[in-house]
Amino acid sequence: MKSRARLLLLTAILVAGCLKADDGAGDDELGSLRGAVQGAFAPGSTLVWDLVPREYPNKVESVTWSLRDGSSLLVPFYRLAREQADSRVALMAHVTRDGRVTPLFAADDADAAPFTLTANVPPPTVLPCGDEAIVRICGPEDSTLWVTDIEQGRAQRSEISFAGCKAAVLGRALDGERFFLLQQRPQIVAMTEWSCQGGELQQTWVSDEPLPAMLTLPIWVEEIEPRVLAWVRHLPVAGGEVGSGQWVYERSDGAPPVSIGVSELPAPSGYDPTKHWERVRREASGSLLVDGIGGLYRWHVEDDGRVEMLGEAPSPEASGWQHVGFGTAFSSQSEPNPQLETLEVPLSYAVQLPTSDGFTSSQVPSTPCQTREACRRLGESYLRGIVHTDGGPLGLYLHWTWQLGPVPVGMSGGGGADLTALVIAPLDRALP
Amino acid sequence: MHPPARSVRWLLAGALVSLSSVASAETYYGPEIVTLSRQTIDVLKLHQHVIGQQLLLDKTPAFFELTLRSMPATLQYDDGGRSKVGISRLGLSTGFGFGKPRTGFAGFAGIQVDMVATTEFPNFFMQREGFQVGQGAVYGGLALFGFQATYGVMAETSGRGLNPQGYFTRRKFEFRPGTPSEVVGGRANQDDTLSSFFTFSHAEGLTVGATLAELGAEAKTQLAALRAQFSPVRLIDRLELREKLGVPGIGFERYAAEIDYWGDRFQDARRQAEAVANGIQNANPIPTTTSQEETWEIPVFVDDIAGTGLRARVIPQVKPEVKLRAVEVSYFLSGEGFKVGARTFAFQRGSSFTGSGEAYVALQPAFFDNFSIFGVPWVTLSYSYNTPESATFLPIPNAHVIGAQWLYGLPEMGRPLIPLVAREERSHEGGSYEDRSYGLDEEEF
Repeated sequence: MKSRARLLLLTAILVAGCLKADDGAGDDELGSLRGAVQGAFAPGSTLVWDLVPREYPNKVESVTWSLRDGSSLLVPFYRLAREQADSRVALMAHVTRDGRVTPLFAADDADAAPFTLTANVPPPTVLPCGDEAIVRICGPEDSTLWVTDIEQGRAQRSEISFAGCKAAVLGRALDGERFFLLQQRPQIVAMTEWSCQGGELQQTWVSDEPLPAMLTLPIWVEEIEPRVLAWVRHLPVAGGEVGSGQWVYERSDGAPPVSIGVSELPAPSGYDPTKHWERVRREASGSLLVDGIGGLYRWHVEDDGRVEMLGEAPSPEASGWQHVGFGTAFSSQSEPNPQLETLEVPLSYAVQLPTSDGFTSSQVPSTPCQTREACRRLGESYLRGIVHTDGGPLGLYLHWTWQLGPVPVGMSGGGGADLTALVIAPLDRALP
Repeated sequence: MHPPARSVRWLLAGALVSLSSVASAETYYGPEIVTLSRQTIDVLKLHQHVIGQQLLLDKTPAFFELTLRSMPATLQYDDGGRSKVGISRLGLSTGFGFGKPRTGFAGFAGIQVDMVATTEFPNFFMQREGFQVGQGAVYGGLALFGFQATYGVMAETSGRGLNPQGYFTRRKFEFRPGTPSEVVGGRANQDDTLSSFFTFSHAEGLTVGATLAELGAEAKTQLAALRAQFSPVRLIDRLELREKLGVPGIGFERYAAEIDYWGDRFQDARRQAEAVANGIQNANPIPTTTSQEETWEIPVFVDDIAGTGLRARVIPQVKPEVKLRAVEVSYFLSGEGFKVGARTFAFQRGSSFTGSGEAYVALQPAFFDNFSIFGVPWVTLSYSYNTPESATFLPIPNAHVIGAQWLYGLPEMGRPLIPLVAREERSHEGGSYEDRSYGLDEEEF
């Protein structure tokens, strides 16, 4: 009997061993494509968006702002093309001065959709707030603010609704976990101070001496002394042409304003939202560095008020410069895709970067892969952003795979989704 | 209980336990096993075996061989699902002809297939979803006084059931508008090709074999393996030294850097595939623990030692580093209507030594004579463990492989399931060899 029982037990083991495994589908349907794409990227690359389905796969733009410690925050965004939330999509990426990249994901998965802007608002605006950053996303009527948690790789949307970008402008504080808001109200411009401590936005100060109403809001505001703000705004000439008038530098402590003609300091003066990236930086001396039209300028606002042209913008590649940050732009040469002429095949890219006395430009790789062929086998790549670091420039590349998302066997065609990845890769590589 | 009955029961129980352990299959993801399959299958080796045997026998006999060897495996698909299957290698070879190729004029033709596919296990007759890598050849040829030439057409499929990255899939894939035609055309699982080949051989002299294959990321056709061997069988027999000494031999083997003949890099490839398939995000591949350089070996052996059927072989590697790669001992015995053989290897895989064992039994069951219109077939069953063998299966580490073969016609025309060299039983019937060794050394790449 014992032998029979042992035999039965062994038979049961055999049957169990031969049973078919679960044939059910798993949740990572793109694992091997992800592996192939990531394996092709150049060493030192960091994914910002994992490979995700996208309805508008190549419509991504980006803007990069500098933070207090010399690091940068890069924010990708869409215009007029709303995409679904996806937890694998980082909303922005923090890049340290020495080039380390930290993708920042939405703290709440429901907020994980890439930023979508309407046509008439400026790109995302970034302000340092202590060790973190505030990101302002302008809407048609109001704006939302996001607070970063760089260490945790998160960005939290604030519940507070701020005024729209035509009615209010944000400014950097001298230090600490604060920022300022200048808001156009009937007859006056209100000045308020906000705290971002612990990721929570709180109003901490309201100026009891509001400023007189302004015809145009400042293009730049910053705290230059404790609770003393300085700003630059455009004073148009009545009936004058666009691009005429004056730039005025004013301080909230009543110091005499400093003016200069727009012709001497060419910078976008009308309300052209697409041209409002980080264009003004305050130097330690108090003078302002201005990323103007066609050149880099230093305006000695705390000295004799003169404007010095530091350098002229270099000539672009075939296309015009696409500006993505302070003094930073790229230009491309491309040809129509022979399989679909409405698409472009980028052949080469040139980038423009700011230096202490002007600009430098250079050719950079057209793909984030170790070789162009490696990327071309998998999809098309497009440069979409640039970050300047001490370790060399980094590029934000969009990679749009040839392969569509998987379609279950038996279904008719057309079911696959376009797949896009965003990756930050070093630009100072050999041109493959 | 009667002691013999108890022994039988425990023997049966032991067999069940071993079968159960065989069924606990390793998991495969696609790239590692498909690459190995592509590098291993070679229908031209089947072809060379047949035309070589024709010259040796001085006959062009009609024959049919079907060889199946299989191991249990678990496939992980790219949707995360898994299923238990068998990884099976199928060899089919059939041919016919007329005349005497060595001593006169002969003409011949045939069809051959060498394929690796997923099947049920142990029922390897039922194909399963998974992959299929194969080559098929149709050929014809002429021979005149030992000079033999063939021309053939070869079709090849390099993988089906794989996604564009080479992983097992149960779905179909599409490409977006704008995709370059070379990307669509070059996807791994639709790569069927047609080519033609010539061979030329002569009855006397040295054996030299070369395998061309598409290797590396560039997939350029290059020399994958070169094998030369000198074993003076006829001289030894003329000098009547077989009974005293055996048949000594020496060879030279060269494998391209991409060829992992001994399975040194297989586990690394599997770990890499596993990492990707399981979504471990790593922009840089897992580093391999072994270098990729071409390998040179100089095997030295004695077959049929002192006429006993024993064979001993030592394989020193001389490049990229000098080391003892393998030692082989085998034994073969044949009688009226049966053949048995066993072989064991001690060999170095990676940096450590491991061992393998295999055995087969072949029978020619007389009862077939009553109803088979094709004559009495040879039926062979085999089992192998951890064998670095690529002639009839894949050199997969620690694989339990079962095999079966049906052969109608002269047994020499079929590939041995386990390549062994045996005592020649030469009879002079019109100058031809009849019922001589069951197997020749077939460890071709």
